[in-house]
Amino acid sequence: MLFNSLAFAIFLPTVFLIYWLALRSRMGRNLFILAVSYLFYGWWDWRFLLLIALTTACSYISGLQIARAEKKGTSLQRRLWLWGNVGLNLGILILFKYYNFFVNSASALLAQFGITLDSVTLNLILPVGISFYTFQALSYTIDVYRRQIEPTRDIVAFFAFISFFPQLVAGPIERATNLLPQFLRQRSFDYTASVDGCRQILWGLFKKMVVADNCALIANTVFGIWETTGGINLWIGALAFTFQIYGDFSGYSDIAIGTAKLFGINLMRNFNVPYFSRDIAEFWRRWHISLTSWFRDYIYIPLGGSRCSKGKVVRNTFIIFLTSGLWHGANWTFIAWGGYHALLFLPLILRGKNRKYRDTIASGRRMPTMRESTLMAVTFLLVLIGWIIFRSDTISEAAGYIVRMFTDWSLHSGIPGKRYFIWVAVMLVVEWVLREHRHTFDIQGHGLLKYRLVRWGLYLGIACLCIFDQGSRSEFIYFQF
Amino acid sequence: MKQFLIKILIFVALVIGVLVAAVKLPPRNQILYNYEYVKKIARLDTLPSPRLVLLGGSNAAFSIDSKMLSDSLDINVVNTGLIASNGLKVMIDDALKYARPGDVIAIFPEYTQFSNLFYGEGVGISSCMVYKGLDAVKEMDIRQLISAVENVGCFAKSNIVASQSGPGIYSAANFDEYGDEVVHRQCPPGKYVKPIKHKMEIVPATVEYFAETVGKMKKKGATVVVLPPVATIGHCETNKEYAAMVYNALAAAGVPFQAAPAAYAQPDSLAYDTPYHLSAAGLHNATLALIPILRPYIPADKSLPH
Repeated sequence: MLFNSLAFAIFLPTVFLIYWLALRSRMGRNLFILAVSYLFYGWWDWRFLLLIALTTACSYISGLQIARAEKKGTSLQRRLWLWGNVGLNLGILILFKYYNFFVNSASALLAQFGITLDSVTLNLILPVGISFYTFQALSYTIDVYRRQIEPTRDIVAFFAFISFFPQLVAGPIERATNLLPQFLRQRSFDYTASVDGCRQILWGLFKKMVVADNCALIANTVFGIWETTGGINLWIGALAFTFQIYGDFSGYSDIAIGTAKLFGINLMRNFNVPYFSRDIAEFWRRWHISLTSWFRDYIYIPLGGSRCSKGKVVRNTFIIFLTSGLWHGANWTFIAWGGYHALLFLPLILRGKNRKYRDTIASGRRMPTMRESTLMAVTFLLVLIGWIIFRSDTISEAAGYIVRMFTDWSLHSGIPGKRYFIWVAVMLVVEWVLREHRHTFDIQGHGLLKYRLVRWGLYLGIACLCIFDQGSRSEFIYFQF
Repeated sequence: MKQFLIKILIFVALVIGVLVAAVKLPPRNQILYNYEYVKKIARLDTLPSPRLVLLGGSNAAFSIDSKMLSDSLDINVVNTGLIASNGLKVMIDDALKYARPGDVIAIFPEYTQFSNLFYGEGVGISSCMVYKGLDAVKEMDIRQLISAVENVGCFAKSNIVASQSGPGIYSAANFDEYGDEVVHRQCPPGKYVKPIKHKMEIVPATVEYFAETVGKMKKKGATVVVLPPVATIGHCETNKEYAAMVYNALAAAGVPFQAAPAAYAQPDSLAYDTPYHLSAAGLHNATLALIPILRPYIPADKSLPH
């Protein structure tokens, strides 16, 4: 069930009304959230439910067993339960997402040396959002092991925490320390939070349906004909994909966070104006925050982070970025994309400058300085080149695309939909103005927007844009991850 | 809570009000490409039988010369091909509704139409819903209606802006009395978009429904021929495996393709702008190749009851 579908437009208000009007107890609401989350997820394919139920049940049991072993004082058992659960969850993820990729890659590698392998690939459907909920389940077990959270005995709350439908298939990847306690306490309707949630949903829909889906039209066309079209068009295509992926993914996150607010649940912020970053380190603090912080807390820091020898810092940086690339999909282009970002990040971390920009750009000012603008433009360009690697089918295609961008300055006509960049500009202006707010459509009280009529006019205008100027309906890019 | 619900209801009512006004108030723009659907249905309703009914997406509209077929096979021809996003279900349902004894119905489904595209998507299915009016509720199933409603805003926008952008190639003004798009035949080829490898999953229920409907057409006394879409050789090569999957699925349901995709595929150099749209020379050659394939199905006795 897509957020931008009629099915969801019926599903959400129905669930909302039953949740607040027909149910009173915490247990009843959790049970209901669990049921509708499974309905939401099973809408794609009911078979996916078996997998998520297995992941959830194993994580629930291992959490309790780790705590039990702790009481007995057997650290070996604690470790066994932790690694057993990590192994099982990663095993499922690898089987469904990476098995064929590894087998094919190994076969291709061996073929280079004249060895032919009768490889067996599996015809498995990749369950939607498997990487998201697997990581969320893993974080719970690891946090219990680290004694950062008490394991819960409330099985319904735990299942609801893993499967909570707004963030189930494309994040934010929540931590048990933030989300699970919210399922363990009574929730009451909050008017202000609900209105804010609706506002955020509306902005998310705009970013997805108007910005991302229209940019997709341009990006798909250009990436489909990159070998024959002019270099200027390649720039246009790369720009379009850069905003498509941002609108698509941050739009999804906005809708997810807004929807969760309607149910009295607060999810973490996942994007914080990443294209206004002044260096790559800042970009990664602002892009897909829930995943970046997951890798930081569960892989990078345990490996020693940046507080070790330079050699190990280089190793740790590559591990985290390459893993992050692979997390996005079973293709060498994603790994290359991760490697590219590692190369950009290394000079900063080795010189100790990766935490230079921790505030928001031009904080307290309307416009950035010339220096800030230049840094922002350079970072944006580097990110844009990364997206070409990410979007291409093969590394050689990415290389060819990038080379042609810088060597062919001809302009061929025939790229449809360039006018849609106007909506990109609107999005950027709004997000620039509201860059220091809790979210990028936190408009209340801003200038003329303190008048209700103006605000309502704006809401209606955005809703109409989503209806009349939406791009061709497509799934959210991050569902495949 | 009450205040919140009231505000949400007012907002939703406003949005729906704007949407309904945009769909209902402006007159139907007769230049809009999708408006040709209305004319094609009118032709299907009025053209005397026996006749050859061509069904398909834009491959049928752009890549078949119906006049040539009519002259060579000595039969009335109506080409209902328009756009794949109308969905194969709308096409076969309409053909069944207007099928008469003695009709020969040649169906050229595009391969992806046995996926979810079977039920239509985008402006295509929305325009069908709006043009059908209340009948849409009776004739379309829930999946079609959902898809149509989701995109009705885009249809309204297309309807309003069509006259501003001028006719172009994709216009209802460019079809002849048979239902062929003819203006592109005089134009130099546009920028050719390379064939895309289809990856969509075939949905068994769509094949089942297709076979059932073909059976109903036959019961009404029509002869049905299922054929691969008219396309370029590049398209056939790129989608060889996918075409085989579709062939196997259709064969298993008892409605196999009656010709190989390559039987009338044309070189990529004879494409107009997409692998399904052939230039004048391309569609001439394709139609020549189609004639002997269709001839055995044409009734010798043309004096069948109307």
